[in-house]
Amino acid sequence: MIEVLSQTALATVQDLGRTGALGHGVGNSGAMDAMALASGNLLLGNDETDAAIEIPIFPFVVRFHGACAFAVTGADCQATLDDRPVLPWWTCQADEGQVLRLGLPAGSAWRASRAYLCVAGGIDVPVVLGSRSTQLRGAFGGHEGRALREGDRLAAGAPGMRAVGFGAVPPALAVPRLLGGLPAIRVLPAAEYGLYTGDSQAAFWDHPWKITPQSDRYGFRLSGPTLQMTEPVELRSHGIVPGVIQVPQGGQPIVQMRDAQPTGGYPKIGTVIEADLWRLGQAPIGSQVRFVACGWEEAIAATDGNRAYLDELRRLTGLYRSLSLGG
Amino acid sequence: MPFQHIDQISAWLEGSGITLLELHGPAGSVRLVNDAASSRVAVTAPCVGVFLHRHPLSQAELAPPGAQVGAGQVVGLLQIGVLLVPVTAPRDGRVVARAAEHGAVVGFGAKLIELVPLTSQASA
Repeated sequence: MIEVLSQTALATVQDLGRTGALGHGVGNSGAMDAMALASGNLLLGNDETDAAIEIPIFPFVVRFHGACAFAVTGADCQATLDDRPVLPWWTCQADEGQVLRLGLPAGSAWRASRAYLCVAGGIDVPVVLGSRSTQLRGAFGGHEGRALREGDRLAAGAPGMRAVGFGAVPPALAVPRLLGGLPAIRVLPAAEYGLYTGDSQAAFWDHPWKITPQSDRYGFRLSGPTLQMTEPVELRSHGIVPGVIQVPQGGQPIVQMRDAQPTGGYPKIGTVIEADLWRLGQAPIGSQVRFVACGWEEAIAATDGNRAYLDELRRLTGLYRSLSLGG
Repeated sequence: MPFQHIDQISAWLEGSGITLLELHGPAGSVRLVNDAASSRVAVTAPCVGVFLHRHPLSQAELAPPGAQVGAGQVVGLLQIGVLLVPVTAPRDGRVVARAAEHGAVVGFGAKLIELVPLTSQASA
């Protein structure tokens, strides 16, 4: 059992998402950085799909009521357990009463904005429509369908002792994708791409895009060159998915993120490929990213690349865990 | 040899790997024993891997020379593919030297860091 001690808003219980319910108007939800969530679970020997706490605002402080193995992944947030430093992307054992504190992400080789607290057996909240993720819009899933508050208590699925004391090289470093020093996010041109002027198409790929403060789990509003269509179009509302890049009247794009609503009517210039959504999801407000054109085959191969990282981590952690338990 | 130089020589000796210095002259002889060098403890690699003095996300060394470390404290990392395995201090001590470069491929038992145990006072 862990108890939230900080007043942090916007921390939520998330797993890999609620897929398959878009047809009922239920969005995906799920971790903004699915790679960090899956990696933290693998470090603990959990199922990749187990739920964890996504933390976008710091400090975040919890007390462990009972011994529990945990892992902190995502942004390097200078974590401490009873004032002793905890390495990023690392597994640890907390004893009864110990306090884990996650501080501001800082001084890291990877600029990221969200940390994940994974616990042995995952955060034990009810499965709703196939997922433990918090659906904020519908106010269900996760912990009581809402963001966590001070005093909330959450149970770990399988607390107690695990082999701990090892870590992972974050995928941002193991599988880096940068262009001009900025995260390079691959994008498939979308249905209305051809309706933008040649200059706007070129600007979309050639200029950095800044993450504005009006960015959250629902969508990232970007600022950069104004994107213009050759002539205005009117669209009926249609189904959209996380990753879709809409361009409203002002010509500044909005990327739909994990809590996006399932329909929209703005023209779409592109879609961030599923395999790179985590890279965008970690980009801090005020930072910049670049878009890189991508085709269908590369988009699917990119998913295999993420899979290869997680498979290697699963294999090596399994091996190390068996050796350290045996010895 | 003037005795006022003994302190300076002792200080140099402490910073070196020399364990014993004997000087003989017509006026007598001096024998300096460097306990610090003889009692250095090596932190060795628990397995094959790429040795890292610092976490890949961080610029700060886990245990730079001069740092005091406790038994079991993580003083370095071994990277095996995407896995990071801890290199821990075998006992309480002060880091006196790096024995392997950041990023060096090391084998089982390779010397990585040298400590002077805190329990044995470095003296000359």
